[in-house]
Amino acid sequence: MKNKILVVDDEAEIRKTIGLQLEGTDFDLIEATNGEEAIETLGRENLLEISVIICDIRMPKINGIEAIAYFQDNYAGIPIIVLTGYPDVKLAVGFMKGGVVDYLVKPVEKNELVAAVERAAQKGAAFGDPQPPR
Amino acid sequence: MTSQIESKHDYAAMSKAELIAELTRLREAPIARPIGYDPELAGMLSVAPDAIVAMGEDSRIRVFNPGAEKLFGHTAADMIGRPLDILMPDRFRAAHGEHVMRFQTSGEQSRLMTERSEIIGLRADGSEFPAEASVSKLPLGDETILTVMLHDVTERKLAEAELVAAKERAEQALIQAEKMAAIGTLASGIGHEINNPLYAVLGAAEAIRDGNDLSRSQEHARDIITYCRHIAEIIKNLSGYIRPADAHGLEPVNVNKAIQEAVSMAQLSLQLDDIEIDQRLEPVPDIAAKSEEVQQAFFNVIRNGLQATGRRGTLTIESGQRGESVSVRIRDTGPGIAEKDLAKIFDPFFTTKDPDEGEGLGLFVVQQIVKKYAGTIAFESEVGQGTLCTIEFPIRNMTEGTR
Repeated sequence: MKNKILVVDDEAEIRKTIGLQLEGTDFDLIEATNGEEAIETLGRENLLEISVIICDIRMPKINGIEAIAYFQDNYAGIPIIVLTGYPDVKLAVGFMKGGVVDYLVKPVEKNELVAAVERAAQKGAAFGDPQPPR
Repeated sequence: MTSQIESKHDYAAMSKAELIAELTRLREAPIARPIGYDPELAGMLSVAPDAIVAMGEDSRIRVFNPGAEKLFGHTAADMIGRPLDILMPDRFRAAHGEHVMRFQTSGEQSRLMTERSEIIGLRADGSEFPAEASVSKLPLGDETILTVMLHDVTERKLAEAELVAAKERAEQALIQAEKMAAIGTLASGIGHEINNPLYAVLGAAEAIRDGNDLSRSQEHARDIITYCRHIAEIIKNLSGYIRPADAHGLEPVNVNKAIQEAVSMAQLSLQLDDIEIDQRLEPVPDIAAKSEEVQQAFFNVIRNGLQATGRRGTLTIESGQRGESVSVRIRDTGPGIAEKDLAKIFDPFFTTKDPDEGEGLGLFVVQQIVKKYAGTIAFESEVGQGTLCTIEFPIRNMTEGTR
């Protein structure tokens, strides 16, 4: 059963807020504070349990752009939602073309986030199980 | 003035060569009569459009031509025999005496007086005017006559002053325009910085709305207060920068505070993934300046340093007092500046960045601001060795504060 969401954001208040907004859904959160930690976490977790990755862009060490490229190369089956403070159309279009399922700009309301996560989770389920890293 | 002096020749009709020959003849003539009474020269002087005043070694006026009558508003009859320095305001008389002495004893035959100092003439009605003047020696017999030619440059001075003022306005406008461009790039960074706590406020408020646990609601409310303070802090840091520069005059500026604000702005406008900013700020006296301009100068240099550093590296900012100046050193670990580019870094529109990263006005504006407050700026760099920028501002009065 897929019910975990990996939240990648360097700001504790943002991870906490995502947690609050997803309270009452069936999803459990696992957290990473940057791209590097996210990659490590994915290496540890049971990939079959991970429904969605919610990823920030501006982060230390490995930033969102690099991390997302890595997820797409290595965990192609896990849907990715970008959740960022940058309302950058060029960046958004690039991500969407690259296969990211949603590009949300903070502040995003609870209903919107929940809907986006559920949409993404369905997509992931339809796509099938993620492949382990090559 | 020439009514009592008859000219034997019509000098106005003579060629230049003829006039030179005539002057040579006059100069070599074994005569000792004062120039003011020389009918030939007087004729020449009467047709000159400029004011011509000649004096003997006793500093008394011998010649006062119609041009001088018109310019000064005195008649030649009144002026002949009077000391020359009555044609200038009191405050210049002592210095004038010295200049005359020095010129009389020097080997020079003529000199443009304005090269040394501004000449101010005094009219009969007491009004003053700026003049351009040249002085020449003419030996006549045992005596050396000094001939001064003057013309009124009031209009030219006014035009020059207007030009200087226009230049200052244009520079000010450029500083402001560059600042607005920098604000443009800041905007997305500000958006990010404010959207984060705003999102947290939203999430906490939704949790209060949807929850029914009082103690949890109170915790969310406390979080909201924290996030709001964070937003207020961000806005406070920016408000000084966004004020138009000419809205107020000089103020005591703490350079360290300007640096810290510039750093926060740079952090907002760039993606600083892994650049360490090492601030080693010693307490320094205030300088007299406009704080947002000083902040803008540091912001531009810091932004350049960060952009040069790329994804990973260190930007070191040191401040301290060096003698009568506040000295700031900003060093990056970027690729350095090629020698051929180093000479051009202050040129407007010179840039090595991508077009969307900057239009090449950053350091030009920094230099304008630093010069405006009598400071200095210098860059040292070598390819592969990073870049060091040193900015110094003089400590002026109005400097009681420290830190």
